Amino acid sequence: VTPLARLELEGEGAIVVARVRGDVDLSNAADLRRALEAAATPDRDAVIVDLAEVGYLDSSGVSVLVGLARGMAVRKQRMAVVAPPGGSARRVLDLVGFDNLATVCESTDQAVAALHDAP
Amino acid sequence: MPSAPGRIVLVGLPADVAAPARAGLVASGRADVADLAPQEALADLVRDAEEVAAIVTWDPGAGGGVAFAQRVARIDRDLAVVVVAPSERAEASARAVQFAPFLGEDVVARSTDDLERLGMDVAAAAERTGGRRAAREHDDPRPDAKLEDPERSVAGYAEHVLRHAPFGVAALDSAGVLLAFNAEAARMLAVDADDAIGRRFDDLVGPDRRGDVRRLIASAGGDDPAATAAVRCVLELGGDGERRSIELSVNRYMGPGEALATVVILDDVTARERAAARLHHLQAVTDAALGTVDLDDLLDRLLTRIREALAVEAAAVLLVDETGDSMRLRAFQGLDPALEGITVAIGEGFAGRIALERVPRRLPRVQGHLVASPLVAGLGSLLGVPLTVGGDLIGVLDVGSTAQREFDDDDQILLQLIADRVALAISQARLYGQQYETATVLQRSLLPQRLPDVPGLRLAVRYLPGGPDIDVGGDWYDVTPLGSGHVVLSIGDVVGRGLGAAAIMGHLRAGLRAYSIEGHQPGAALQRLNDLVVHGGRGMATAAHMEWDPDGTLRIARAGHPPPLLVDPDGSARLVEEGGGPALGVMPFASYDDVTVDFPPGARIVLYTDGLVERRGESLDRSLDRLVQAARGAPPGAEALAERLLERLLERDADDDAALLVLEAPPRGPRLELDLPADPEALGLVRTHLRRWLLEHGADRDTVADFVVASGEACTNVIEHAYGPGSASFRLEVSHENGDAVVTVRDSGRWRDGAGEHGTALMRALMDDVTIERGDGGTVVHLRRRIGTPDGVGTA
Repeated sequence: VTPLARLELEGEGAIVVARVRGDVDLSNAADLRRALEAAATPDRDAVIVDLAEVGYLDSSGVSVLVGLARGMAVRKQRMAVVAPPGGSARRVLDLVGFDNLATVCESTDQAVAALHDAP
Repeated sequence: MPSAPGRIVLVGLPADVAAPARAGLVASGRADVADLAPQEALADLVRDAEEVAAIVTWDPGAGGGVAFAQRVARIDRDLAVVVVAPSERAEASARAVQFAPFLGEDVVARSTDDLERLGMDVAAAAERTGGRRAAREHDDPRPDAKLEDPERSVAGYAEHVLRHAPFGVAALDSAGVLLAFNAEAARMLAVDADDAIGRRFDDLVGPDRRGDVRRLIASAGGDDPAATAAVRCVLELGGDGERRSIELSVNRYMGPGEALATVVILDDVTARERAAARLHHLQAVTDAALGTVDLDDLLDRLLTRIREALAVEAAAVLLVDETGDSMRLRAFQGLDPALEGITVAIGEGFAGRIALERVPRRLPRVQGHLVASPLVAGLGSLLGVPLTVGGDLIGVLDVGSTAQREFDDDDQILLQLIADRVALAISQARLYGQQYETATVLQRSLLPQRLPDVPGLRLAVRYLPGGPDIDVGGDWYDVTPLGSGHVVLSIGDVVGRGLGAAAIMGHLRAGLRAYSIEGHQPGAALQRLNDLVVHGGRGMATAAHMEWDPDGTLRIARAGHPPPLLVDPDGSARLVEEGGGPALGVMPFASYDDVTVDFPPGARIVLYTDGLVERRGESLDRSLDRLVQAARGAPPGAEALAERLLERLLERDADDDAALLVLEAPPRGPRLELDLPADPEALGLVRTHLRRWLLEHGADRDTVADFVVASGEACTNVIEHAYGPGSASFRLEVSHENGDAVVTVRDSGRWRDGAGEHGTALMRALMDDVTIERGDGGTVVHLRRRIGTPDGVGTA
């Protein structure tokens, strides 16, 4: 009954930051998918998914991110993921080669800069 | 032309009656007609009654006009009064005129059916007034003397009534001298006519109350010349050798200018007072009985006292049942025990008639068909009264004596007074019973239905409600696993009892749980809860709150609650008295310190409410000391400790609630084995236990993290595909083999490659070795990776 993770949305206008805290596994991946898709409205240019506070990310969570990245690419939106090196999420993202799909950054600032620099 | 002078006064007549009356009077030669309100008319009469020849008054219902006629008679008995009533009320009005006492010489009733004749009738009445006045002048030149004449002041019908009245009446003149009295008054005053007439009334009462009576008579009347004032006092008069309580009502009748006569009504209230005294005796019983929730017990006690008070052998309470058409015998004494639960139709038999008519009944001799009724078998005489609450019948209270006996007014009054209390007690007990039930249901619904299943953690809980006479309390406990693998436990006690306390308890429990889920440490959670209680104005409570960390520690905070009891693996016990703060709701801005204690495998901690330890007349220190003693050397296990504490501490007839929660740290072993439900919610538990085991066995952080992900993937695959949703389970085993950690996940389903796009890839990337064995009985996944520590590290 206890929420494993919570999601906070921040920022108005072109870029929205979706900050995830807690653990992401099969029990809450579907909910997270719905919440992130709802945040990536067509009026957004880009979504930054911040996983710095995620203590556990498994393949269910990876699937959510992959699905989101593909959907946004189709809609010509961009996506960046924040996962500091050494963190649990980063380890998993690196292993599955997530950086082929979306930018993986160390901080939200870096992610914002990366989105602005990109064409 | 009228021969007698004087005005005709119309009092309170509606316009459609006054107009034809006036026209008829004019036609009869009576043009002096005034239309006055009742008070104006009386004031005119007091000023000069002789100017008025007749009064016409309106009687909207039986009695109204008659009462006015009585007031007129007090001023001038010769003055004719015509009472007009609407045709539908005319008959009742005429009857009231015929039988009412204290009316003047000439009072006639008329209906609005006779409007065309009304004027003529009133004119005739005015003539008769004139005739009487002329005759009076002739007989007795003193205008007011007749009212001081006892023979004429209570004349005719009224005199007859008063002479035989069951109450005493004495007429006094303006100086308080006795002019006349009836037989009952003579009996009460213990005087006879020859002796008393002409003496002052106050001389007839005992010297000790003489002054009171004189003042009483003088004070009657007041300033309103036409008013009758009644003043009451109770005298104890020594009549026939026995003290009797007599209530006096003094009515002073005022004529023009001065007091004309005083009428004293004497009422013997001895029986009523005696009944009240006997009731007083019973009152203590009923009041005490009201405190109990058990209706059977209450009724039994009351019936015993009723039998004593009325000296009867049998007493019974019948209550209207759910059909509303019959009554069930609810409690009885002195009757055949086989009668239990018998029903009686309302309207039938002795009790049934009382219920139907809602009036007391007496039966001096049980005879006829009643003898056959099982309820009165063996009884000679009966007395019964209805039980009503707020006008609603709830049953009948009856008593019976085996011998034949005349129950008197005294007995009946007493039984009715008791019945009123019994009825109230029954309705309160019923209401209380409902509330108790509601509170109990509410409380149960607010406490955890079952403890959360936290594999590896052992919990024992006991909740003992107080005695049956005690309202439901506000003790609560709660256990909540957090997503982090931590578990929070709380216990508390809301000050107060009943529905309110149960509701607050639910509120606090939910609040504490919410703050913990938000990630607040125990002290911070209590601080927020205190704010909630203080600002919500919701009572006061104590609580102990703690968070178990799988790394083997407990973080504890308390708010005015007795300290938790910590029992170490070696069996030694101590109270954790650090980490205190004030009770919740006592002071704003209170803060609560956390204390962290080691909670190694095999250790146990006990949270409890004071009902477990408190004893009347014992200091809290002493109670806590007993708690520590009781825990020392307890057999291992959470359940065993809970049992032992209850056995050693709880008094059998304890009336307070007691709650007890025991948490035992899971013992550390070489292998970890968990049977888990094939449910996504189980994944958090897998991580918690795996982390703890690996850390205990010397694995470094990165290795732990990798194992947790790889094992999570193996379990996810099982949960997602092996069974589908349902009640299936799987098994997780962790062991230490030659410096490697080995995780084994077993299910009885079929492994599906590719089901998780990244799952299998992650397992292989993170582990040294992954094997998947598929068989008919299910699938077994082995994950192996070096942790570099020798086998046995960290095991107990």
